[in-house]
Amino acid sequence: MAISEHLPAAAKAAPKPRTLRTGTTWVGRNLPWLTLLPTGILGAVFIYGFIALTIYTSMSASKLIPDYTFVGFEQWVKLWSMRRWGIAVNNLFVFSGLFIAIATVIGLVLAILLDQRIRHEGTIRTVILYPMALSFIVTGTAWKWILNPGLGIESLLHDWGFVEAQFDWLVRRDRAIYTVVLAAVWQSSGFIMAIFLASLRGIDPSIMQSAMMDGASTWRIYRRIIIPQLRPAFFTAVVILLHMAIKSYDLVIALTNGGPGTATDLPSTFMYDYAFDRSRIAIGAASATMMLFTIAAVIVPYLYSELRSHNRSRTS
Amino acid sequence: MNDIVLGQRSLTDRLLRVALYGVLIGFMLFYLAPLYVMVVTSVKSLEEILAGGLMNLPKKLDFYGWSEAWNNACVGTECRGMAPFMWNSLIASTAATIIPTAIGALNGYALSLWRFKGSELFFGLLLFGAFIPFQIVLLPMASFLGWIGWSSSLVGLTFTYIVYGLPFTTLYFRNFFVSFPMDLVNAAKIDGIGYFRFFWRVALPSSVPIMIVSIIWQFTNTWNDFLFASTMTKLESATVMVALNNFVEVANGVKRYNVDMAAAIIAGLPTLAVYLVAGRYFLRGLMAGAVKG
Amino acid sequence: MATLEIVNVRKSFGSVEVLKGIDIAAEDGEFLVLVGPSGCGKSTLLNAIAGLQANDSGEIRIDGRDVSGLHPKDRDIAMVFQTYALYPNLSVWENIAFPLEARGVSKADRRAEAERVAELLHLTDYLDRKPRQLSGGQRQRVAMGRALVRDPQIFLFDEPLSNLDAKLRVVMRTEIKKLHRTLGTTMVYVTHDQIEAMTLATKIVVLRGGEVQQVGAPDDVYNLPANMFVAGFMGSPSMNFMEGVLAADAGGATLGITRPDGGSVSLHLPVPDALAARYDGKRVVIGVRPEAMVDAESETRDGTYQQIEWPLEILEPTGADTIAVLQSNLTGGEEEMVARFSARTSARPGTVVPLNVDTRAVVLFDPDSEEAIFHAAASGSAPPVALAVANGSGA
Repeated sequence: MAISEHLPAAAKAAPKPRTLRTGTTWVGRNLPWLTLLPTGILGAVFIYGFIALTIYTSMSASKLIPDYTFVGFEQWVKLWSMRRWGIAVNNLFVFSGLFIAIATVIGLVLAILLDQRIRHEGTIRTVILYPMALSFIVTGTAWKWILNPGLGIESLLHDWGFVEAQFDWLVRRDRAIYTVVLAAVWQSSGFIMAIFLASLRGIDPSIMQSAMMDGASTWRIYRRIIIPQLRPAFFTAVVILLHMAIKSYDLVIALTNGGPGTATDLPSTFMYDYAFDRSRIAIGAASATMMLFTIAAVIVPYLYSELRSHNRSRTS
Repeated sequence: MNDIVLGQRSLTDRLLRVALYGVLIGFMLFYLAPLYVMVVTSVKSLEEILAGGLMNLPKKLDFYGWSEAWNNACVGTECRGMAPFMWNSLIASTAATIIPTAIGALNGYALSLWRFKGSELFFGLLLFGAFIPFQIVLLPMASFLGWIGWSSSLVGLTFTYIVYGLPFTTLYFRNFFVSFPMDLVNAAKIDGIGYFRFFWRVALPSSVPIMIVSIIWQFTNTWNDFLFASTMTKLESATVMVALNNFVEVANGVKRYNVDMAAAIIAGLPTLAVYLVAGRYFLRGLMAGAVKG
Repeated sequence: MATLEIVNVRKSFGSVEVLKGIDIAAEDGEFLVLVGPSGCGKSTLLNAIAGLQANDSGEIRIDGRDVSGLHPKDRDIAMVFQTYALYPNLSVWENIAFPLEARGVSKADRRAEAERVAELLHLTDYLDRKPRQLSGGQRQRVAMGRALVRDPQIFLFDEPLSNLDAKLRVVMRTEIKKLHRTLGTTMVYVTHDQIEAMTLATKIVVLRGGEVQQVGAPDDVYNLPANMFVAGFMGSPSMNFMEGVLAADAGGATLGITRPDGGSVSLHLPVPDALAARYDGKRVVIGVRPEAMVDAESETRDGTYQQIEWPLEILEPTGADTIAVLQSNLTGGEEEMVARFSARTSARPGTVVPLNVDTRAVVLFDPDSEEAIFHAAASGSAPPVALAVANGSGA
């Protein structure tokens, strides 16, 4: 009809799509999951297969060389009776408790301070967050020097007139773990600040304005209205920090190497030591299994709730 | 109330403001101090370092630390400086950035815009892989690489990075494409635009921001990695982080702090540079890895 | 160029049946508008026609061929989306020509086609821009251009104007109508806006709860609504409903209406004897369009108008005329009625005012089934059932 006068001669001349093409052939219909097949295979083998293998190894008689005789929970029992594993677990509690608490508080405080229409906010944020870009090996090396008992902070305090001051935590068995906390907080609190700041920016400013008109003080507004609304951010921050704490390895290696003695051993350093340096493979595998279970207990519910709420918001 | 309306501040307000900036500056100093100490230490002579004065500026600039770190620093028995290890890291990180990002883009595209039965489950299972403690795969991976002849090699390490980077890159692209209007896909279906053509001509060009995020994430993470690198490499194939740690740990005799600090700065510089250039994307990557929504 | 037949199409999402057996037929060159409130199934039906969602059962025939199992691209249709669905990274001309790219048309030819379509849609100056640099109306046109370049058998429109502001909507409505006249291609158009439906359609399908309520030409759907839903949905302000009791008498029946204030009025209607006998002494609902209810004091009308008196609540001047808001006597409801008064009316709110009702345009409904039982406009003869209206009016 009239269309041919106005429209595409070439479109008419061009071949209409042949019936059997993408979407109609078997391959065409199944392209999406075929795309994912390589990743699926890699994931099945290298994530889930290897997890299964490690768990199995932890139940085997392996020592120096793999020995796949099944011995049940024997190695687990052995692990939990080891004094050094006890120290590592205990350290993990101390370290993660302090690390999470301090990093959360600092992150929250910084976020609230930065949310006060600060000049040069971008620069300040850049400074606070930069440690996150560095390797724990680099920061560990730096802090090791700074905390060095002879020439580090201690000597600085002496220079400043505190002649009696002592700061030898790095080499004290009962204090070394706190130096790990310090370096970890320094490295990670900026990220927590960013999480809280993003959450603060998501709060409707008119809530603040209306509360001000109602005559509430700034402190009260934060305590009663703003901070309670940050609940999801708290949740996220704690999960992330806990996840980081359990996986912490590099920092301890670079800063204290688990020492003095085994004073700053964490499950991660314990695992590496037994699996590779001492070649007690089954014990190493058992400790890795414990780490996995701990993280799974935290992450699986988190991922589940995140995915579910995400899908909900998408369908609505 | 009037004060607010008129934009004037009372004295208390102004004092609070000063205190606010004071606290912020204090925090900035706390975050900057270690970097400052690293830099000044690296350009001091060893005598000056041993004389104390951690925070003092160097009396005289001395680049001995830097030249030693770059040219002669010993790792194990090798005394060739940091340079070869930087090169190793660069090779491994580059390959481990490009490949997972490319695959992740396709994965994310399929998972979000072409959902199929089980695609959400697939995503969930893959996502978990992003959060496992890598200790759980360390032993089998080391045996596997030995078995196929890639043990203690850069190839093996790179392969490891690729495999365990895929959950992250897939996550980024999937969450990016999820907010892509479904109508675009529907329009393409009606117009006869194929799966790959739509990916190549529409989806991928629109995903540049998340591509940058993915690239930065993979690069910084593999560059900064220590656990895999220390397990999967030997001396010649060591990455810069392994070299740095080894170098700082093993040095015998008097500790040469200026060389240590110079080496640490050299090792940290690439990721720091990436952060300064593309901090926005770096943060977005961190956040996306943390908050899946 | 194609006919479209939809035969007993059903679709469920889980346990919710969204399409409950839809039957529609459109001639070649028809402008078919699917209209209804949100959730009526109109978009689902359009997606089924497009092939974006498979129908559970029934047939969708384009030019006699059932396309139900076919991939969207093999149905030879083009679609304009509510969100326009423009590819953000492609320029205007690439967007328009993208369907051709997939068909292997050379770049030079694609550009030429895009230019030709662009001229038709007044987009020539924008060919090299990106979608985000365009206004809403321009994006809309690009989306149409991409459909046009295909030269498909059927165009599908999914609420294409709902993201535009009121003024632009009117302009684009006209453009789409012109386009249909120029091309003569069969078009299927989904909207919730009954004015769009009235102005564009050659045939309207009113949907509700996954069922077809009425199919017909715009005039017929407006003047001969099949039931109270269609009567109330089509037209703005919508049809007024009053309840009364019918009494058969010579030459038809008299409808006695009790006003909300207790007074009573009556209208004599020329209903057929059989109907009058059937409903003698029973309740019926009378529907009167606002424009068929005018101010008797300032406007004099001929003999087909009958006068009743009704309490006036509020007057809302709109400039051209004045909207008079009255209270309906419909049981249970706080329903309002609206009459169209002249701008110079002397009526006073709060008083009882005389109204002239055009009895040629009234409709009677059964209050229980809500089906129409008598259309005064249908030359005195009452259509027995709704479908008769639908079938008798279409082409």
